[in-house]
Amino acid sequence: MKKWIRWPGLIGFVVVVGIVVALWFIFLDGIVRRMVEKGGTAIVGAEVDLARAHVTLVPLGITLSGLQVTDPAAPATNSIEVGRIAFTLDSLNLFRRKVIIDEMAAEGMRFGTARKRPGKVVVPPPKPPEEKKKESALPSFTMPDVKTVLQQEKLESPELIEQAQADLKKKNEAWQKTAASMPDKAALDAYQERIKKLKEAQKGGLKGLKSAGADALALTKDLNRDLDAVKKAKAAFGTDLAAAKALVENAEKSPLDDVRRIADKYSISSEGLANLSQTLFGGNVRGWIDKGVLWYGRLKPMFERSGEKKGNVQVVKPLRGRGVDVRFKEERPLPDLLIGTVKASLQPEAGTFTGTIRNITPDQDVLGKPLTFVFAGSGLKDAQAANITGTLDHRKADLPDDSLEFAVRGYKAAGMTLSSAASLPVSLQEGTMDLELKGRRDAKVISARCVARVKGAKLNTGSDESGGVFAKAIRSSLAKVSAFTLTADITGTPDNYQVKISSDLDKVMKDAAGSLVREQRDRIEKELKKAIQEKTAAKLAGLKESMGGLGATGGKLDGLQDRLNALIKDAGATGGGKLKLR
Amino acid sequence: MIKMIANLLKILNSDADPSQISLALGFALVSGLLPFFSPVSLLILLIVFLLRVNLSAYILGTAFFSGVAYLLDPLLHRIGLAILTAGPLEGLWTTLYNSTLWRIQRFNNSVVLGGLVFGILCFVPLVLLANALIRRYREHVLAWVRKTRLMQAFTASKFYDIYMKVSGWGWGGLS
Repeated sequence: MKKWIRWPGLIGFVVVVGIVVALWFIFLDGIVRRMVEKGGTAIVGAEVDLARAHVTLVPLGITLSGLQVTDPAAPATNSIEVGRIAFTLDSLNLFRRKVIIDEMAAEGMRFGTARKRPGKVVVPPPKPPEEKKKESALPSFTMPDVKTVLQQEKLESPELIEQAQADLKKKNEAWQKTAASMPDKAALDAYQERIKKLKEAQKGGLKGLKSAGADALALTKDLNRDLDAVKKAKAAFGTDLAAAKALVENAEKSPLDDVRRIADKYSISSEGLANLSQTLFGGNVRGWIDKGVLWYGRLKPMFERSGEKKGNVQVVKPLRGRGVDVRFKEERPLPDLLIGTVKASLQPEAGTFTGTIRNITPDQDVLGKPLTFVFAGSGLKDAQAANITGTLDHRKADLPDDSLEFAVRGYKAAGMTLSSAASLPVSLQEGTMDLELKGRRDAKVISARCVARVKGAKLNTGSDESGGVFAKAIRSSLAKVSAFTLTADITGTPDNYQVKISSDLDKVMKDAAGSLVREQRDRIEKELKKAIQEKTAAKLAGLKESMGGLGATGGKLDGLQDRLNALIKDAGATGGGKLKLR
Repeated sequence: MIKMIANLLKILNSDADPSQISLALGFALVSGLLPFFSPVSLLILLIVFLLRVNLSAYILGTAFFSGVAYLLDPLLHRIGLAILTAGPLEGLWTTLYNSTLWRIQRFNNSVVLGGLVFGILCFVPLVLLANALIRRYREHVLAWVRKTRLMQAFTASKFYDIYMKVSGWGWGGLS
């Protein structure tokens, strides 16, 4: 046994462990800084930098200075920058891997600050789908040249007329064949001859009458067979003729359809004019909302843990590290991470907001309390008052219930971009704004309304004079606006929501530009009509000619039926009482 | 890397008892599969220092098995998750989950528990296998290796100089 034990090894162990612990203490600040940067980057999806971390052991506390979080959508700026964060940790619970922070102070929070160098983006923000992009695409305000338009646009009418022409030709050929298979003049004359013979036979006494009866029956049978064939052909022809008429009508209408389609594309419709605020401001408002939703999604792991239930236990992916953590029932349940209260001071450009965030934990179900936040602006240089309150209730992961209320009164807006459309940029150069936002989100529905009332407004529409008379009219009407209201309604599901913008500016813009738009529309329609008619007139004439040909075939069938009916009548007059008259 | 290979050859060719080397490799396996800062890792370190096992082999083995652990992550995760979610063991895990010491060990992580179980299960087979291989190497291969031209050329190389330097350090002397 003695051979296997080396007691001096105990000293070696103590020395090694001592060295490791000493090194750990020496580098602890750096380790914590790295952990914050790495963990933060994993949560946010963009580079997180920390200038300094300082750890004190008694009491166990951490102070973080100069935290910068890169904006994933604009890597040259920080989405948030915090001057100093300080908190103490419950050391006993830390051994149980529970990060419990009773109170945290966050000072000097600022948004949208410039970075010294662009931050790395690990998870790029999703690109807006095409239909969302279209919302912000303004219609062209300049009158396009019709020749250029016709070079760019594919006309549907010539192809449609050619197709109709081909169809009609086929029908015509088929009916000419059918008509040729019907009794011709010679066959009808032969019938006439047989009737004549029958009449003569009747004059030949009893013997003549006997043979005439058999001939009359044969004649009746032949006439009825031909008449039936003609009637069937006529019925089929009627259907074909109706189809051909519809085809021709469509083809005749198609040039006008082309005119309307192209005019709609290159001029502003009355619907578009009625809601220009959606077109002008929709893109920017949508961008702000999308940004909020993106951050909500990225910060979600801070207030909702995505776990999977397996029997009585829950399997959760740790924020950092490998594998999964399996959580069992605790005798004294405590969240794995809990920040009881965060006292924060926000310093946006408007001034200073102070507020409190309570119950930050991904385990709201364990804590039994939702995350709440209240912020109020005090001593604001640019606003009379501002309040933000909200609740993120994720105690039941499948039934989340979030609400947000935001109100700003007397905000002195300056240089606020309302529309970034190149053809008509609009910004609020100055004005006093009252802003109200009320929103709610649950598992199925998201609904919010944001109303901005602006007084003493001075709208800037840029110095660029492009866009033609229409843009000029809009610019001049907006320049006269001194007060307006802008409302954004957000409705839909959390994954697919719509933003509807309405404003009293719509009426102002419509009044200013309505007649111009109508004039422009009439002009483009007139020119398009002329140009398209030139391209389709010859084809349409050919089509009408073919239709005439088909009509003639119908006339032939009518004549044939009349002739056959007359023959049957004639044959009946010969005394063939068994003749079936039609 | 060259130093590591030189160390391995030195250990294999040294006079250290094969069982001291193989035991060190067994402990290295468990240590390599577990996080460095955990009670079980510290316990193994204490055992390694107290028992007369080859420290050089332990350090080299730990470095090697730490690398292997990353490759085995999916397997260890599966083993760990299966054990942690096994119904009959739920009572045991719940008790351990409420114990501070076991929470520090982070046994409830699938990769950690998978690594611990895998390490313990492979400990004895690895020790026996390594023991037998080292003995065979020394009996049959070592003399032949020393006589080969390649080895003779090797002894004249820079690599051999490093090997000789390491031989002189005597840090395996605790074994």
